[in-house]
Amino acid sequence: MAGAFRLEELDHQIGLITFDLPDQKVNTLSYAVLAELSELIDRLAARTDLRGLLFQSGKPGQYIAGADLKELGALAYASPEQVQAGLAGGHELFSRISRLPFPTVALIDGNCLGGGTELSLSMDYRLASAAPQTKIGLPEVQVGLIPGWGGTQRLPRLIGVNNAVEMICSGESVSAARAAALGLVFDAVPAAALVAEGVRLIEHVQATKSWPAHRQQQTEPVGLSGDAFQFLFATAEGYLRGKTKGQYPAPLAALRAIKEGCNLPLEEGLAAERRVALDVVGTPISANLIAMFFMNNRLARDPGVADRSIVPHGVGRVGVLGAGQMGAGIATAHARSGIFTAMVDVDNARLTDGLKRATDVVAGRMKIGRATTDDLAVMLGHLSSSTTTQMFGDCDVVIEAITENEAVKTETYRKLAGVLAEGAILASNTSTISITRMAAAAPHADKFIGMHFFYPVDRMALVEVIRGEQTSDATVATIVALAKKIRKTPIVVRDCAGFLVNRVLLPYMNEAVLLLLEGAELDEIDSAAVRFGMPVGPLALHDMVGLDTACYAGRVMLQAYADRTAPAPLLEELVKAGRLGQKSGAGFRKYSGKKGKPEADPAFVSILEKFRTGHRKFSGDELIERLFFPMLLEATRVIEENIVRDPADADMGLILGIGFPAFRGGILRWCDAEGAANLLNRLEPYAHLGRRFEPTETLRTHARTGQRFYPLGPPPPGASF
Amino acid sequence: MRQAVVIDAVRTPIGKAAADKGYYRDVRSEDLSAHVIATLVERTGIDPHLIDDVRWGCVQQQGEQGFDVARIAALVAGLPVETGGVTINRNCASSLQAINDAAMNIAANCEDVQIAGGVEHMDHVPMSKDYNPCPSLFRRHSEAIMNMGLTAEYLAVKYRVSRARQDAFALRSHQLAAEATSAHAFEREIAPTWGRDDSGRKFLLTADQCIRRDTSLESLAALPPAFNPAGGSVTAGNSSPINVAAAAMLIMSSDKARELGLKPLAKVRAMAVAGVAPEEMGIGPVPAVHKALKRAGLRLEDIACLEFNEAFAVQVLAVCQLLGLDPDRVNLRGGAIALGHPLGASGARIASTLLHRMRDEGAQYGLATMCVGQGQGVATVFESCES
Repeated sequence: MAGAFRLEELDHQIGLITFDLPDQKVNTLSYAVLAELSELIDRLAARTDLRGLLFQSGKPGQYIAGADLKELGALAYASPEQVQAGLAGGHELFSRISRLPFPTVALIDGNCLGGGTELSLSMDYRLASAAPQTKIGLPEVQVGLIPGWGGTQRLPRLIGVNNAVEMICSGESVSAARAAALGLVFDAVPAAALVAEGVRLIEHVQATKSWPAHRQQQTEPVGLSGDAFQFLFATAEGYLRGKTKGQYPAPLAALRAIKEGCNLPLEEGLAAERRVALDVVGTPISANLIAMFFMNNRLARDPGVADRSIVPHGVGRVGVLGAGQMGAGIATAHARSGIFTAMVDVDNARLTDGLKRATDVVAGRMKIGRATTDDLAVMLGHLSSSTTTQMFGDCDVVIEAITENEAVKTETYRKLAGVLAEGAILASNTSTISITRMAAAAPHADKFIGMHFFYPVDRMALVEVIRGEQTSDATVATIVALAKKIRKTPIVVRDCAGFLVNRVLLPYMNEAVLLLLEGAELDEIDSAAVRFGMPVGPLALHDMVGLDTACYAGRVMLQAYADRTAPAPLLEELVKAGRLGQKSGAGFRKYSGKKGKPEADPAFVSILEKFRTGHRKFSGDELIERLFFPMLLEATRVIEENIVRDPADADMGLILGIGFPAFRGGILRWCDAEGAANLLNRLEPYAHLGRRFEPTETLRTHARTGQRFYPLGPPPPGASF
Repeated sequence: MRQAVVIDAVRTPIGKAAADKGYYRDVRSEDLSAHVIATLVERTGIDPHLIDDVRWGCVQQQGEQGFDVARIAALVAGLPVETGGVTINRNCASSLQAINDAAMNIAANCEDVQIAGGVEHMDHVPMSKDYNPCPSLFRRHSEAIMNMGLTAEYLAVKYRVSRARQDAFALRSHQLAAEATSAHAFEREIAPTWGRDDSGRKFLLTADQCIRRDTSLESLAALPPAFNPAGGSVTAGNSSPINVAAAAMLIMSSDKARELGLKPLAKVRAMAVAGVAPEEMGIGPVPAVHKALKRAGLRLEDIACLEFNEAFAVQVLAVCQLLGLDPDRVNLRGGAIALGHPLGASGARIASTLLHRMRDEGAQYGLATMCVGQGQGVATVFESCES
């Protein structure tokens, strides 16, 4: 490959490099690109006539997306020596850039991530375009890696250790304005002024002869004093340990690289970075996180249908029927994204509640600095409410979010027949009821679809898009596009009881109840799941979603999958006793304390005793296997039945929908990691528990043939940072 | 008794407090403060480990000026952790008070080497931010005492200072400030500081932002009264503007200066504070000057260099009237009306200008004084060390 870089000379002997990878939307730093850059730097190092050098991207609003993630992913198959050589090569090149015989300025317009940021840090100064698309960051820890081309060493020397730790260990990017405030860039200027301002900066540092001292300073130890050093790293480590729970090693590794290198001369600091990087490069956790990155990318581009000629319909107005928790949440999500939304419910009291919920969502985000009064104005300006469905007359999509009762829902659909506009799509937010069956009551079965949001809507990114037997491709594509427009991640699922997420989640939740009956302790069960990586345990989750809801869903599952669903009468009894979970003040635990925190409840134990089947003790490993094997087996059935189109859809659905641990890459990736044959052996002792522990055909095939859900090998091309 | 001397004095260029055009629209108070502190250390070559304390004037001590901005600025400036920092508030005289406090510490055998100065970012932390006065204060006083402009209007009436005289004094301030700037008279006191020009480009700034070279009696006369629309005489033109700046000086005992081989600009000869009716707060310098002069054993005629803070033209004119002083004798490089009045930094600013003037003019004595909202005056008499 040739011609990624172009060098020209501006007036007054100032050079300008333009990085423009041919035939690519974004610039990435592949080995080939770095090799070309290396040659260019060699030539420039001999140029004593130049007074300064500017570096820009030839792609407006797209600076450098980082290293080629495909190559990064492939490092999982490289030897430590190869990895070490790769890192040292990067260090050597960037160090040569930092020693060019004239001042250098990076002109950053658009995404500047990972290796792109590290390249820019090797230059003397940086200017950023003051545009919303400009984001500067080192997101390596988000895929289980650490910045390995000098980021952990150059950034602390430039903006101070605390600020560098914050950026590197979170992986979060900063805006141009924030970068300027931090001193990461000299200034944030209009994109069109970048070159002129770069020239002016070079003229200034040449006139004041200030650049050599500035450059020298960046190679020296940060010089934190004993107390400042100890305190900073102790507090940062404590914070990160709490945050990563021993499940995500990269942020702590990055911190270690900074700690070991910051008080040394730069060259020694870079050596420390290389040492620490070896601990994380190519680990399974990093491979899983990189895979998740690719899965996300795939979903972002997925139109939801196989036929690429299908064009989604534009959606200008959306109607939402129901102003309850889900309805209001769904309406808010649309209005916040600038879509005109009409929320309808039977009386004004409910609408008032719904509008309050909508306002609370944005107000809550304002409190944490994630929204402004403008956002509130946009949301309120796009949200109307009414007690009449006549409001839906001009809506392109109407989302039904009323009570989870098939008769009530279908009755409502019949009434909507005369109201909906020609061509309007009717979507149901049902979490369990068959879309194919309810389609019969809808005005047009081909324009009827499931659009299953998760609670709380403003925080859960997943939307299950359920296509019934008669749902048309255009309807699917339109709803997928709409979900993306409101910044959700849609996953298209074929109709079945529980769809994807609940179908796979409920066996796990049910198993937790059964374990309780067999004698396992409530806290033991929950903490085993949390240790596995779940955000909360299954019994705590019961209390959160509501025992009545769980009970109802359980009945649907029992009916649909009777062969492998064990009835859990305890749940029915708890509901009868009015123990509905957090919302009623008590479920498996009680929530009557001042802060509503969960506490053990003797009243629950007395109900439990009535249903107890045993008093066994369980080891932590057994609990994990009991909880996650039924979930895994159900996930393999979902694949067998083509409920989703790709194993990655199931994995992403679970990561986004139930908080399945991202560092495990999803449950099917977990299956691959554990190995099907290994799992078959481990399932055997549970055979007596019935079909829910019986290996599926897929698992047996995988065990026999060595087949995997995700074939081994480097990830697919096309992504980077 | 130890004698306080000032080794050097620096300040930032004074910027307009404006979110769109102000020099320091995106530069913070702590950074401005740290910049003048670091410049002072660099210029004087003082070993920072010798600095006992930083005394910093600041009026609106909240937001980026909260939590003892003196200490924070000292840390940002890279002063050793052993150096202290205290923020001082006597409204507009805060940093003149900081200088006086430093001198008192030296006299009292407490801290020796100190940096005294102040800061105010009247754009980031506006004067009116969280205004919440005490109702009981208004049992004996009108709430209008909180409005400096109205107290200035009161002086105009009480001391019969015409609009024309006010405007003429304002014009003089701009003319003198422009001349002084053109003649590089501020070069020794201004530390070049990064900020933005009108168009938003980042520049190393070297001159004050509010000086109007094009102003005239006619344009000043055309301005409407700013505080009392019906018949007032105090306008935006004959008042000080709203500003952003930091100023600092290095103060130590004369013994210490000798020991370190540092040549002082001047010594602090005497100082005073005095209260007046809040309704005529602008007159505060009159009793303060009398007190300070008496303590110095000097008469006003003995003082060659006079720097009066120009909160309002009418206020300086009324003070001069009561002191029996020709207003043409004060502020020969212009005053706050032209240069700006960044509240917490103003005392150190006028003292800086005074000390550089004394050196340039070979004066033996200099006097800095300012009025203080809610009715006070502070004055400091400096004496050259040449004599």
